Amino acid sequence: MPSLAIGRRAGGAYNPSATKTSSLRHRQTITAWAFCSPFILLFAGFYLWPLLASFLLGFTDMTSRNLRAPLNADIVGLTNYLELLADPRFLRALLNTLYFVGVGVPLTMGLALAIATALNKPLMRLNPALRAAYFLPVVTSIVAVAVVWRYLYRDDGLINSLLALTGVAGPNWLNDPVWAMPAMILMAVWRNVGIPMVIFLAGLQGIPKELYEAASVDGASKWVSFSSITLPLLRPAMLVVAVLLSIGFLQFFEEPFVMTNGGPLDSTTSISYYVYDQFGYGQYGLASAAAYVLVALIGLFSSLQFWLFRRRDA
Amino acid sequence: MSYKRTFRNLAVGLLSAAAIAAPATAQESAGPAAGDIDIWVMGAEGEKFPALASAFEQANPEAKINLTVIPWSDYATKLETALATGSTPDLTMLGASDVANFVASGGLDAVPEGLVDNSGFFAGALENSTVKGTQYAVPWYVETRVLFYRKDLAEAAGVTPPKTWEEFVPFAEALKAQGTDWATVVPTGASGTWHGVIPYVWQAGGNVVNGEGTEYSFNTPEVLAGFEQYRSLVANGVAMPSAPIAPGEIEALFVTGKVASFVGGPWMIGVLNDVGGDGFVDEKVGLTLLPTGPAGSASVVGGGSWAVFAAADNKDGAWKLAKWLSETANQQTWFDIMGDLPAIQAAWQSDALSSDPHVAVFGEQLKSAKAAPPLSTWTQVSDVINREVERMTQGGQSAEQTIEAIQSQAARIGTGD
Repeated sequence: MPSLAIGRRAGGAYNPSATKTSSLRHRQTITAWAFCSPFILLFAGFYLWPLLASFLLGFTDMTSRNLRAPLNADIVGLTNYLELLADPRFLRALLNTLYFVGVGVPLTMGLALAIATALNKPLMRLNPALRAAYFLPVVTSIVAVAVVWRYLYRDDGLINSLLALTGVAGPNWLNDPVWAMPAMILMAVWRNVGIPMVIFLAGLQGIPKELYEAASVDGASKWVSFSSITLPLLRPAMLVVAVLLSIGFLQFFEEPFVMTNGGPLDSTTSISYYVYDQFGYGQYGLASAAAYVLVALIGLFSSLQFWLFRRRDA
Repeated sequence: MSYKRTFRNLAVGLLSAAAIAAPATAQESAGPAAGDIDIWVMGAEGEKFPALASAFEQANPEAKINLTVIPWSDYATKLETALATGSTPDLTMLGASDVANFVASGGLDAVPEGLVDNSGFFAGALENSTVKGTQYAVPWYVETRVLFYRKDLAEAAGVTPPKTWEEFVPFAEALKAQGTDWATVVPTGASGTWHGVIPYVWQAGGNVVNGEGTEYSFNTPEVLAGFEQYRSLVANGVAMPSAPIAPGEIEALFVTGKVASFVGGPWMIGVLNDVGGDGFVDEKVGLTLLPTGPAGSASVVGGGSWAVFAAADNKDGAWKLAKWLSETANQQTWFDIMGDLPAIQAAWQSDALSSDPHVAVFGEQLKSAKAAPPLSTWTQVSDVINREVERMTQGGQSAEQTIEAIQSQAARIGTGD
């Protein structure tokens, strides 16, 4: 009989969703969308639309002259991007940014892993205090930190005095085109080592102790058990850390802004700093194009890291 | 924007239009100012402005000034945002080098004909307010840079401060013999370096734009002479090889005697008294004109001026306020309140101004002070100058290479037309 056939599939299993009529489904769909709509509208209006608009801005020649009539700006296609490639200052900024990320990210990760491994030992009382101490730089204000580090980096500052104790004549850090970037990298590593350290600590505590016991029974040394057990099992944590750090380091702006103004001789100008300068000159189209070059770089780096740290099934 | 205010302004506007035969839009009406006047003032001037504002409101009982104080660091962004959204105040203070920038975006109204008597202002102040022959701002106060030197160190070394370019080297040598590290410090690449270099160009008789102001012209022999003199100051050890870029460092070096002179503006007197203790300036510091070059003396004139927005509600009240602020008595009052030097030359006759010896030096320098080119791309070109001068003083680039590099980049950036 037909009424008993509703809701019964072949074989007699009961399928509840098949009992809903299409108009009820329709109503439920509309209700779901209605509940989602405030978020969607806000997201579209304040996130997607500005994203799209600034992307399109990179293809126009808008400057501060067009402020009162933005639609009067002309579409110039890829001219802005070509101009960027021809600007030696932008190419230098690109190089500086890649240098900063290429040295800073592995250094931060390595240091964070070392600290996390050391803090993973049951030293009981000291551990929370040490963890807090290593995490403290993350929560400091960059401007206050930059002022202090600027004093440390002075020719007659603390760092050079300490180096002099060991007989090494330190350079005039922030005024030397060769040493300004390493100085920035050192400060960035110090400031950012806290978050990867916490993530690695969590990852380390997720590795079962039996694996280490089995390894030591087999006669493996500390280093072998570290590289064969710890590192592979930390791969997901390393992926997270690498992606987060790259995204942060690729956008570095406050350190050159507060400490060196992009100098000396453009050696600490980053892409973000270049974008900031161009916006200051009123070159909105060019600045947007440069900003999207940065976005493309971030996407590229993230894809690279996802590939590098992918799960490898043995 | 409240409807009540719009309605009130509309009513006032209609009434005043009915009372006076409707003039051209660029004329101000007779009678006292009326209505709300929204003004933006920056920095320290903004904090002390209320004293002047209340005097204006007493003279114009129908008017009310709504003041917003804006920090200098934010002001370019705020102004551009206001222009883009159309919600501008009525009157704003502008820095000297910003007038051209904001005129280029089309957001400012020209000063009405006959509003103020321009012959009363310093020439340099008017130059700063005029773009392509049209005046867009009413000058308010001026400032220029002179040479601050440690007169106690100079006396001990038995020298007087240099009056010409050639006298710098003997001055430096005598001071070094006394134990001072550096005779002077000039900017070597920080922002604002152009401010230190351009007087040398003018003192050599050159200019960075051509006669009509339509093109940049850095590659002339006079400009080369100016840059070469600047380079030699650093290369010969007269000036610090690498000037501090952080605020406050130069004053500290000057007060401790490591550096015997620097170029600064009127506000430095108060700063030095703060750093060195009360009376420091009177006892140990002398002020003198910048050393002259082959073509005489020159310095940069800056300052503040008032501009009215094209999208303003109460333009009439705004222009009246700008005019009131440029009256001699009110300029003198502002000097008493803030210490800013008046843009009106006649205002310098007051007791406070004519008896102050430091003010006399600034007044003398103002006679030969010139304005930076009023072009909308000047900010970008001045950054190019900063970077190339950094290469010249710290990277070993020659003066010829420097001006060639600046000229090629400035030609590429253009004058913004």
